Amino acid sequence: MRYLWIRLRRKPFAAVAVVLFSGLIGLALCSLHRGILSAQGHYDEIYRQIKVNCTVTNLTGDQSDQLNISPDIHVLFTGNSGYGSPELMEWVEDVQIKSSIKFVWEGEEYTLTGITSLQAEPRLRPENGCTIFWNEGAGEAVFAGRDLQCILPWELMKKLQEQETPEDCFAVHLAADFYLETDYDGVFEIVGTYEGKEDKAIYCPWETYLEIFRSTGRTVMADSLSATLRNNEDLELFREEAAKWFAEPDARAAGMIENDGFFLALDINDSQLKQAKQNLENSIAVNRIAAAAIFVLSAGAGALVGVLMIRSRKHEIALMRTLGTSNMGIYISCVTEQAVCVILGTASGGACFMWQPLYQLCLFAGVYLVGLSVTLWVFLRKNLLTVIKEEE
Amino acid sequence: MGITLKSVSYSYQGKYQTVRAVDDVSYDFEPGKVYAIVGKSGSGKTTLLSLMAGLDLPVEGEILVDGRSTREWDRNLMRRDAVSVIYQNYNLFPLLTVQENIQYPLSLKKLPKGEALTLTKEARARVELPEHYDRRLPKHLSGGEQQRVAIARTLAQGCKIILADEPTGNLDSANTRNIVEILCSLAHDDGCTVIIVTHDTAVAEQSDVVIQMKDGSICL
Repeated sequence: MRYLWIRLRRKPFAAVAVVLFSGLIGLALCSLHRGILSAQGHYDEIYRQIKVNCTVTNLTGDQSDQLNISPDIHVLFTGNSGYGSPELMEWVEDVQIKSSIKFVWEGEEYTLTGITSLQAEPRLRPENGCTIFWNEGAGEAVFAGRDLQCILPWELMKKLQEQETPEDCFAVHLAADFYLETDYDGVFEIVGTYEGKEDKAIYCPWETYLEIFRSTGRTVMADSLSATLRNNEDLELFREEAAKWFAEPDARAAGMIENDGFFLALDINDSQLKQAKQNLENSIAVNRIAAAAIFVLSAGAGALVGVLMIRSRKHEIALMRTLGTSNMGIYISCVTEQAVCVILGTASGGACFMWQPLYQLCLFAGVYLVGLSVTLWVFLRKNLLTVIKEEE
Repeated sequence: MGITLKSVSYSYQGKYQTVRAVDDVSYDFEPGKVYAIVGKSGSGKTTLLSLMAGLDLPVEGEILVDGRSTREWDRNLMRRDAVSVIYQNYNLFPLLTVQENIQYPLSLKKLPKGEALTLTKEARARVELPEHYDRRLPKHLSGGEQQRVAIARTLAQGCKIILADEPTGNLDSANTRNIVEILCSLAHDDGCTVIIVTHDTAVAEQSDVVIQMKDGSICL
């Protein structure tokens, strides 16, 4: 052992190379592990950042605007009716429901459209030219209550001004028909205008719209419904829950019996989330494969170092054996020397990452030493006289 | 402490053939004498010496070292305590100083540091190497000096059987004379059994017994 220590001091190049090699491997293993941890950490980020949108569609997956979504369905998302328990409400946010009813005003046909939020209708977004007068453009708050308020096309607003009617009101008369049991008359406060052009829709809050229908003894059939998942981590649970009321889009193609008790499908658009998760999984898998490859190669590297060690020290080892050093003694001292170098190197490399993960660093050192030990032991088992003859 | 050979045979197993290097050799080497084994290249001298050194076991027959068969000896222990070998190419550790080279076998015996140092200095003095050589590396020594270090190592080891394989093969005549004198004094003064394998007739002439080897056998 003392001899090897002296040797190490006087000819340190090989040992330094092993220390550097182990240091690099230690660094690589730690950074791969850090990569895996970082990728795993990104799961929270993608769950937080990527919005999963779900939309009620017909059974083939088409999102038409005339789906006749019954109250017992939209109440699942809003929970503001007595039609059933709002089972899906706790899973979703930004629920956007839209429904329209036709009426005639001054010989022209208009639609009164109830919406849950301004976001439900692209025309009502400020960037598309919508102006809210009320409370200096308070946005969504305008449509929060049950007050009779409306947003109408700028052209209609102009017409009202020309007629010198009160500027901020619009009277709606809904005649009884298939949808309404009785006539309905209401005066809506105008809270905003939009650039309607050919469109003749008057938008009012969803709650107001529901109230109108309730007062006439009818129920509201929604035209469209979409929502955003509140927590993407619960996606599969949500999917299970939604399966109680909805088919999957184009379920017939998947072999389901047509209808199968469902009238509507729920299209959960999680492709972006899936893609992001897949990318993360791929990145983690690459890191894991690289780490596994390092372990396999480190056994090979150990064996290679063993071969090089034997080649360069064949004469010395033979001399040591000739002088009476036991094979085990030589084996232990060589392995100890390498163990010191590998541990020193790995510890130095791993120090940059606080030796995390420790088990991988230990595994690398272990596998390397096993590779080295096997080669060394095979050589030391060779007959001494044969070794000397070979050298001659 | 002597060596007795009883019908010793040894074969090398080559890739395509088996070479019988030593063939049925029997001999009794007595303590206090210098033996010279001479013979042509390939006559089996070095193989016989290696077998006596316990580097391998004979395929047939027995070698008794101090009355015990080499099969019974722990051969590492035998090479450490009973039999010492000097080689033509000196076989010194290139990275150890003269003192460390001489001390190496003593470290295997786990002698106390002080005692090992005393033995080392005595051995070095006996082969007439100056003290300041202690810190020199073998590469800074001449061939004769290196061989003297190898002999000093053997002396420090304290083995009573000394085997020398062409110890003067790389030396000039003055150094040869010097080395052979040391070896002879080890046999005659210290009672060691000294067996020298050599081609050199001058070395053979200075020895007590000359053994001729031919085709793996001893010709008496």
